[in-house]
Parts: sequence; structure tokens; C-alpha cells
Amino acid sequence: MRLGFPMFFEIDESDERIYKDSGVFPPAAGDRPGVLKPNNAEKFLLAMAYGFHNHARLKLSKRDSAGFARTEYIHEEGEALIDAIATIETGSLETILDAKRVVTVVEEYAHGGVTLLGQRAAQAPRGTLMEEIELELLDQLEQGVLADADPAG
Amino acid sequence: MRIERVRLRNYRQYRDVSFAYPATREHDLHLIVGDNGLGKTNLMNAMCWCLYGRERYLSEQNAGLPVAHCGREGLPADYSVSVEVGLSWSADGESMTGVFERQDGDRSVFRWIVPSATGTESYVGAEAMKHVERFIPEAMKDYFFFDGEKLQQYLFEHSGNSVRQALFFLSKVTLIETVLEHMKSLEVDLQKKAAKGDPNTEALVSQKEGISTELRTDNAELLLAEKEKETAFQERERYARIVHGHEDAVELAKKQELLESQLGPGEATERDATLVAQAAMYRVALLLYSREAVTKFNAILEEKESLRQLPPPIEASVVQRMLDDAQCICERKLPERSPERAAIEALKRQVLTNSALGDAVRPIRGGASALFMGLARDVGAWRTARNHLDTIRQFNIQRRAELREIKEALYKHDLATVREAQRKHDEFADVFVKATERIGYLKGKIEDANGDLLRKQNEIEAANSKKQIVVQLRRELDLLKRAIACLEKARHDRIQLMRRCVESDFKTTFMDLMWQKDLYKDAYLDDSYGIHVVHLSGSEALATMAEGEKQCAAVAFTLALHEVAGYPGPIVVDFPFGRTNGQMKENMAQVFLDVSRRRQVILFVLKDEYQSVAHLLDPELASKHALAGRSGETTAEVIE
Repeated sequence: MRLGFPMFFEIDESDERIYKDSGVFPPAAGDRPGVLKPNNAEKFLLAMAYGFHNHARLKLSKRDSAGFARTEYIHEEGEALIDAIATIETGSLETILDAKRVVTVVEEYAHGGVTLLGQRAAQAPRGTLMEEIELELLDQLEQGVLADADPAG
Repeated sequence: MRIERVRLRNYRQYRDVSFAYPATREHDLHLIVGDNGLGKTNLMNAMCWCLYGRERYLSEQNAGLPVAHCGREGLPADYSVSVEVGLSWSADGESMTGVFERQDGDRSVFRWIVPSATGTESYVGAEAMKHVERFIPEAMKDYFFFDGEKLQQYLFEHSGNSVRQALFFLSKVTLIETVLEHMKSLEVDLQKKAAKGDPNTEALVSQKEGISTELRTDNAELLLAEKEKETAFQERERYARIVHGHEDAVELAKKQELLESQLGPGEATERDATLVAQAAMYRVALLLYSREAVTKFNAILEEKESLRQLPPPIEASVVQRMLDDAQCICERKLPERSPERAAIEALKRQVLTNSALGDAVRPIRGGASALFMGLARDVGAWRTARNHLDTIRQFNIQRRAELREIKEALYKHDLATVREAQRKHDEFADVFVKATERIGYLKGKIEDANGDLLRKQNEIEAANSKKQIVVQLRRELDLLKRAIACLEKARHDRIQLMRRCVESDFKTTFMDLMWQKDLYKDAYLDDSYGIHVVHLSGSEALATMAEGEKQCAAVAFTLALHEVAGYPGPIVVDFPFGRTNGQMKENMAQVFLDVSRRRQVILFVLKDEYQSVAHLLDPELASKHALAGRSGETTAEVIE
């Protein structure tokens, strides 16, 4: 766990339902051996990245004090993303030395991201949000974004 | 032997109706005409019920109704009514003239009432049943009372074995066989008597007796196996008729079961593949969404590096030493609170921050580069997972579509009934095969035993030949042997004659009935008494003939059996013209007319069905009754 980071990243109380039941992420129940589902830390990172990508930073109005994503489950690559986002958001590389500030930035982006996803899930016909997101990603790949990294592109 | 009168009281739709069948004309032909539902078939049922206690031709919808007449309003719960059916018979011999009477209701009774010197004499229950056997034996009733609509079924349901049984029974071959059996046991008794006192001969006789006993058991078992085979054949055919036209449904149902059993695991696989594809997609999404941040972050780092801020160009320990020594590396003094010392202290803070940043940035740079170096692999993994998922989805979609189609196709079938019928069909087909195998085994065993029996017989005769007692018994034994041989020959001749006659009569009547006379070139009974009709082309035609033609074949065969057996019972036919029409129907009427010169014929016909042959039959009828109905009750009127 990164020095200065709390044990958990926290979310807004309103986020929990989206993480669990909106269909954005697979439900936790019914795990089958050999089939891994994303843990909360991975969901949190995705929500944060989605929030940053869509410039959706939102203050937490009511923190869920139970905590959501264990920071020790954030891998080194995830930490790199967190620091990059915090740096870009504040415009100062020194931000990465201020753990508290970094946490605030990423929790707010995760809240913004998951709120946006929740809204999209509510508007899209049931069960089709994943397909929409999938198509958007494929579009990005086909438009040559990261063309060098995409074997099909 | 003929039926003089049928009287029905409170039997189904009949409250109190009598039908008289007088023998006043050259043709003993009687007709009952009525519309559907007025009780023609039930009149035949009443006759069967009276004689055998069972309503052989009851329709499924009537099976649940009470036998007692209840009119349109139905029977009140506390109302009991006595049902009575009486059948008056007459025959050449006085002992065959009388009335069979069956009652049900308050008391159940079955009796045979005959006139006697003192008035009447009654035989009740089992005694009365013995008399029924003299008129129309229960085992043979299907050849005397029959449903024309189902005639072709008779033809197929009655296998060679039942034809042989009917033939033997009606032609008294069964009787010859019983006498033969008695004589053979008498022969064994005489041989025993002759062997008495000689242990060797006694042993031979005992061995022969053992073989005979085993032979009897095997013969009885053979009969049972043949009966079982026949029943299995009939049941198999009956269920085949139910399944007929639904064969596809049975196959489809099997396929449905298979698809349904595959769909569960298929859907689970799809769910798993979806999760795998989603996990791969999350990773790609994470990288694409944060790509901008990482790119900008790298730009900031590069800028810092180009400004030589990262890593700091000077080590913090060098700055610290200057402060500790209060002297700059350019040897200028750094007194307390001097602007120079403040500048060096600011430099130290800057260097420390940049060092900390440098330390913190190192893993970030490593993590980010690892993340994006793996992107190509992650996109590849996602595409593979998506393709795999698509394949599974397509497969499941195809399976679901197939299932939907099957369900739609099965909708029109009564699948439960068809499945049950198919199960029963397979079950009886299995019994049929096993019984056939058992019959083959038993026949071989019986043949061997007969050989053994003959050898023992010869050994006994050789052993007994010199004994005095045998000389005394010789005459009796010889007489018995001659009688047995004579009976066996009579039996054989009778069977052969019967077969030839039935075959010839069947062929003649069948050809008479056909309107296209040159379409079939032969009709015959095979060695196993199976019925065959040969098409002009030489091929077997029975199975492919039209329904009406099959009915004609069945009528021809039944009439041939009657003629040849010389059994004088009446023939009662419901729906006699079956599905015949045109010339074939007229031919059928003509055949019944001919038969009615020699025996009583009672026909139950629909008004419409009868009209086209009325010109042939009406002038010759001995009696004609018209059925009429009102308020659930049938009445009969004699038409002059």
C-alpha cells in the first residue's frame, strides 16, 4: 500500500447501487470457479478513468464510511494511473507527494465516472450499456487511437 | 340357430324396446336403420352385454355413462333402476330354443330359460354361460358381432395364430385334439400295465412319461407364447396407429429434450465467456480512458527533465555540507541570516523536493510503461474473448431458434399421448420379439422331444414284445393305435381341407366384392394362416389397399370362416358397408343378401349409408326397424 494512502478509497453512498445493481459491472453473486470478476478496486479504477476521460469530477456529497476499494488491491500500474490523473488535474507534479490530495482527486473522479455510467445505464435499454461502451471502445481502436498497439488496427 | 327377439329395458337410451326378427322370408336378413347417436351400436352392445356381460363396442364417450337408462335429465342419485336385456333364440333342436336374460340393478342375474314339460326351466350364472358357449362361444364372438367401421383392423389385428385358433375351434379340430389327448393317455396307461413287474420296461415307460409331461408343459408354454406374441402384435399395431402421423413429433420431442439438455450448460458457458470478455474489455477501457492522462503526465516529466529538475543536478548532501560549514563551494562565507545563506537554504528545499519527486516518479513511470506496453496484448485478448463469446452466442441463438421451431411444430400434437403410445409401442415390439424367439426355441425343443418320445415308444414296444401280458393287451393296444392314427389323419385332413376351403371362399367372395376385378390376381392363406392379397403386379397388396377394399377383404374372410366352419350362428354387423361406395357397396349388399339365404344376418345402418343399396335389399328384407329419438330416449318402429 502506498505511503500516506488510507486503507480504503471511499465512494458516495449513491454510488454503491450503481456499482452493484446497474448492470454496469457483473453482479457479485454466482461466481464460478475459473471465471474471475473484477474486484471493487478494479471497478473503482475504471470508474475513475471513465470520469477523467469525460471530465466528470464530482464532490462526494455523502461518504460511505464503510469504504469501498481496498487500496492494497490497487496494483502498481493502477497507482501510476492515479498519480498521472492527480498530476494532470492539479497541473503540478508535486501533487503526487500529497497523498491526501491525490485521494481526493481520484475519489471525486470515480464518483463522477460512476454517476455518469449510472445515468447511461438508466437511459439505455436494459442490458445494452455494456454493448454501447464496447462499440465506443471499438470505434476508438478503429479510428487509429493506439493504432500501433492494436494488432487488428 | 337364430335370434328371434331382442328385448331391452332401461338399457342406455332404450327404456322399453323390443326387436323381433321373424324368419318369414327366403332371406333371413334384418335391418335396423337410424341416425348417429340413436343407439345402433348400443343395440349390438346390449346383445354382447346380455351374452358375455361386457359391452365390446362401447365408444369412449359412452364408457363413463351408466348402463341404466337415464333420459335427458340424468338419474337422480337415489334412483335405482333395473336394467334388463333378453335374447330369444331358436334352433332346430329344442334344447337350443330359449331366452338368455341378463339383469343388473337391484339384483344382478344371468340366466338361460328354456321351455320344459312343466313350464320353464332356468339355468343361472356359470350354468347359463355353458349354454352361451353352445351358441356363440365368447372366444369367437368377434367373428359374429362386428363393427364394419373397424373391419380392416380385424384383418390386421388377427394374426395367423388367432386365425388358426378360430379355424380350429369352428371346425371342431379342437375337439379332435381333445379326444386325441385322452387316447394318448389311455395308451400310456396300457403300456404301464404291460410293463408292470419288469424294472427295465417300467423305467422306459417312466422316462417316456417324463418326456410326455415335459412335452405337454412345453406345448402349453408354446400356446401361451403364441398368445403373448399375438397380443403384443395387436397392441404394437394399435399403438402404431396412434403414433401414425406423429412420428415426426416423437423425433422432434427427442431433439427438443436433447437441445434443452444442451441449452442449460450452453447458457452457463455463454455467461462465463461474457465475464471473460468483459474482464478483457475493462482492461482495455481502463487504458483507453486514462491514455490522455498518462500522455500528459509523461510530457510534464519530460519538461522537468529537460529543465534538469529531475533528477536534481546537485545532491542534497552537498548543499547540507555548505550550510553546516557556513561556506559556499565558491568559498564565500554564509553568515547567519545573510541573503546568501537564505538562497542556499531555498536551494536545499528545492533539491529535496525534486529528489522525493524523482523517487516517486520512478515507479509511476515503470507502472505506466508496463501498462501501455501490454496494451497490444490486452486488445488481442479482448478480441479473442469477443470472438469466442460471439461463437458461443451464435450457437446458443441457433439452438434457441431451433427449439422455438420445434415447440411451434409440436404445438399441434398431443405429445403426452403420442409419447406414451410410442413407449407402449416399443414395449410391445420388444415383447413381440422376445415371444417370437421363445416360440422358436420351444418349437425346436418340442420337435426334439417328439423324436425322443418316438424312440422311447419303440424301445418300450421292443421290450414288451415277448411278454405274455402284451399278447393279451395287444388287441386293445392295436385298436388304440389305429384309432389314434385315424384321428390324427382326420385332424390333418380337416385342417388342410378347412384351410383350402377358407382360402377358396375368401378369394371368391373378395373378388366378388371388388369392383375392379382384374386389379388383384390372388388371395390366399399362407402356412401360418396369415391372410394375403396379391396385386396384379405380383406384389403383396393388403397393406396398400384402400380402406374400403380392406373392409371387403375382412368381410370376405369372416364370411369364408363362417361358411367353411358350418357354424350356424347369426352375423350381426354394425356399419356394414364401412367406407365402401359405388359398385363395391352394391357388391357388399349382394354378398350379405346371399349369406342371408343360409344364415341370419342383422345389419345396423345409417339412413344415408343405406339409401344407395335400398333398391337391392328392401325387397328381400325379413324385417326392418327404424330408430327414432326424443328426450334422450330411443324408440323403434317396425317398417313394413
